[in-house]
Amino acid sequence: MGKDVLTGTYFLTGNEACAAGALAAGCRFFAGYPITPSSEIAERMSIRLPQVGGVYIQMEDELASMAAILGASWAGAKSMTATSGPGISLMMENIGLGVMTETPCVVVNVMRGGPSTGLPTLVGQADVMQARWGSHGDYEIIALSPSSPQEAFDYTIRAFNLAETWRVPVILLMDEVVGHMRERVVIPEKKDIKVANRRGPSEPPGKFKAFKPKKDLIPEMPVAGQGYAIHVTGLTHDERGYPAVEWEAQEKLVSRLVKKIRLNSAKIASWEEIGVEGAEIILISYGVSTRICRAVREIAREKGINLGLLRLEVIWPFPEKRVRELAGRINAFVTVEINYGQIALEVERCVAGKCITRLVGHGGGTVHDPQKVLEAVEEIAS
Amino acid sequence: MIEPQILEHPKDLLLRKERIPHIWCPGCGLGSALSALVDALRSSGLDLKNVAVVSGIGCTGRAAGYLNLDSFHTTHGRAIPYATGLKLANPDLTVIVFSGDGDLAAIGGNHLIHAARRNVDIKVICVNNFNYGMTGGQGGPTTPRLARTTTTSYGNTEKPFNLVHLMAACGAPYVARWTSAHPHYMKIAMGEMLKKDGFSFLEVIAPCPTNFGRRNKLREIKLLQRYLEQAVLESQPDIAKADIELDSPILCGKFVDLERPSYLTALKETVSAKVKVYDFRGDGRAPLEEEPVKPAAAKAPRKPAEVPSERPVIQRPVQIKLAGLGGQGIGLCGLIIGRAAAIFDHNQAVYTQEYSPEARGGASASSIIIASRQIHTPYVTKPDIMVIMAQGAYNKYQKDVRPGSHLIIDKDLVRPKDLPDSVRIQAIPATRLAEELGQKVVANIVILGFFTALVPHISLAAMQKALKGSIPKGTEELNLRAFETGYNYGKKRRQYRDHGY
Ligand code: SF4
Repeated sequence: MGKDVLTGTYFLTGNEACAAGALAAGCRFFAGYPITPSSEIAERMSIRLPQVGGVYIQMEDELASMAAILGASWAGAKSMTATSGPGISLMMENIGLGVMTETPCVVVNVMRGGPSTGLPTLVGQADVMQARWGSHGDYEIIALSPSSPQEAFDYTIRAFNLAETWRVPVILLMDEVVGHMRERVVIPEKKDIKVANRRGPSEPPGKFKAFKPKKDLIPEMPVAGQGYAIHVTGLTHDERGYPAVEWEAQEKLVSRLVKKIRLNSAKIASWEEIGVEGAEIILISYGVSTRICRAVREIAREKGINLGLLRLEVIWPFPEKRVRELAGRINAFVTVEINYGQIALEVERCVAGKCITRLVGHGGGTVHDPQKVLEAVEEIAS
Repeated sequence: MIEPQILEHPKDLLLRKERIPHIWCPGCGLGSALSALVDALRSSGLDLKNVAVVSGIGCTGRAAGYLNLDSFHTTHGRAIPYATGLKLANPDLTVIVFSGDGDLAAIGGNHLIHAARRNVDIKVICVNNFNYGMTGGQGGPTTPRLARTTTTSYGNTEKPFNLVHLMAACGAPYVARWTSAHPHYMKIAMGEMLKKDGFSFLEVIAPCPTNFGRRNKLREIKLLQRYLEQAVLESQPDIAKADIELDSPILCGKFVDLERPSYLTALKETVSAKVKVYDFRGDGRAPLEEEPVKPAAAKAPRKPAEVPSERPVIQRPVQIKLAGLGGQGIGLCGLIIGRAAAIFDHNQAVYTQEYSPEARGGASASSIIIASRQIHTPYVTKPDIMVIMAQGAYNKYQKDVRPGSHLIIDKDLVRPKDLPDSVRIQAIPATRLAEELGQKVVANIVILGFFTALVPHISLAAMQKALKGSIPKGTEELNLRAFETGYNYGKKRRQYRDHGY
């Protein structure tokens, strides 16, 4: 057997770790287009995939890359692409097709400063709402945000598992700092890595309906070449997959696409609470910004401020219920993110006036100055 | 009148009976094209379970939905890249793209030309009716000059694509054109395409009486008749003469049929020998007969290393910044220091590198933070130790040298000036020593050895292990000697001038 999991201790960038995670999760197809600061993922995949009998292909643009990974998924592949700002904007078209056709795949966005070409080599965290709402139409999606190379490895595997389980494109929202920084990454033994696979059809062709949901709202997924003569369309469709351009079919299909994530959000949402019990003020953050928040907590503790941190591992779906609960007992939430208020809006919505909400944000290009975050905290504490 | 004959064979297993009647207008050429494809598939001998059809958006785009095969109705223009993914994930599939001229040549034009160049084995049937039928007959990149459409009311002024010429120019190994009035030839061409290993392209000129015909005063049968009359059948047609004008002849036939290794064939030929894997497919079903070659990153130990006994304990994070000119290998030094600390000393280390465009040439820096506990802030803000290997780098990064910190420099290449007195300078003629060893390029490793002798935060053993795992094969001896040279130089100096480390 060729080795897809190179067990060992390494000193990797987040981008390299992401590629290693993809292979460990079973990814064997990568289609991409070079873009800073994500190109190292494509470079690594182009070396590694052939070694395990997979396929790397460089497409002509990001529209094509996204379309190719959807096609590959329907031929039975665990597929992935990686990009950044300008590329993710182009991918939005076929992310929508992936959502509508319930196609498992992973899209990595190593966030840089925007809008437009913005800061190609420098960090940003401003594509968070785009990840949620970027393609037209109404839908729910899953997005994760690693804050270290180790998490880039771990969360890439999680991203594939979530995509396969919930049959939706999953977005790994990395950021330039995490993508480019190196840290120790431990790659466990293959047997210790949990891998989820999509559920195949339990009935033979004939009676089987490719888009008929099971109890958990997820249909079983046949792939091309299995004899099911599947029809997959981006049009609103019925349970057979046939176009059904009418409001009743729309209601049935789109509400299920939304509900399969919303009603299962307790199983999908994921976050880490650090010193939250008893805290008066809680920082909410994700990605590289959580590292700054950890540093701020240490300084605050020395100053006698009991500061908690809620670190989003999965950004979408958002831990709505938990934030609501906490809002009833604390003094304030402070959102720390590299934009001018995206998750901060979500926090405000959930808090619904039950406690103070503040944003410490900036436009990108660097990480937060811990002092700025501390000042916001101290202002509330005093 | 060529009514799609497929409708007269409702039992035909190749059609989704429940989806018939189709949405196409009477007299539309799409039915004949689809019918020809059904015939070609039936006589192909292919296991139809392994045939997939992909369409984009438009009247033609609906074809996929009528075929009782694995069928994919994708986004506008993206049928070809989608098909590319299907084919490369499961090469056992025969993948057909059946779409219109607007879909494939306008919004999907970039994919079309690259697919022909790349030669992925997909069979593209482009039904060209000179306009956008589905949306009501707007003009597009195939609309003949002077033709009237809803967006070219005064007559089209743009030159249309000669699609067969375009495809041939992009390297497509099979290119043909017929009209929907030639069911027999269409079928033959499609049959040949199904056998071909590579990108093949068939343009089918088809009437759209509802839109294109009506606006150009050619209703239903008249339009088809016109195409039949205009068609010029040649055994070896000249592709350069295949432009289509409103009243010009429509040159038909097979323009290109040659052998060129398909994408997957070329991949196997080029890559197999190097990775010792002989099949490539995205669905994870490629048999792996032999061990793949060892990738570069696998040089680190397989198992998490034991925590070494001589592990330096670092309470407060130590910030190190290394700077030099492009080609001096300063980034590698940082990488080795990071690996030594993080992997072999079992401390925490964060390494960052400048990724600005200016880092492509000229002075650049890399930074490492080392501590025994978790490191939060990834960037070096106040370096405790700076290593500078060139004057250009010194000029750029001198601002970062802060009072009380340590500065390690190449004695011959850096002239430090304007520094606070409290900066403790350690100098080594690294480049000169490297030259004495026979290779100037190992100056970075000389300075790394020097650094190791002076800085207590990384153990010697860890540094040696990290060094061995980070240098190219065949250069070990030279690099180890360079490291030792620098280390000994540092040790000697340290006896005389211990600066508190
Ligand atoms: S609009 Fe034109 S292309 Fe579309 S179905 Fe009618 S005749 Fe055919």
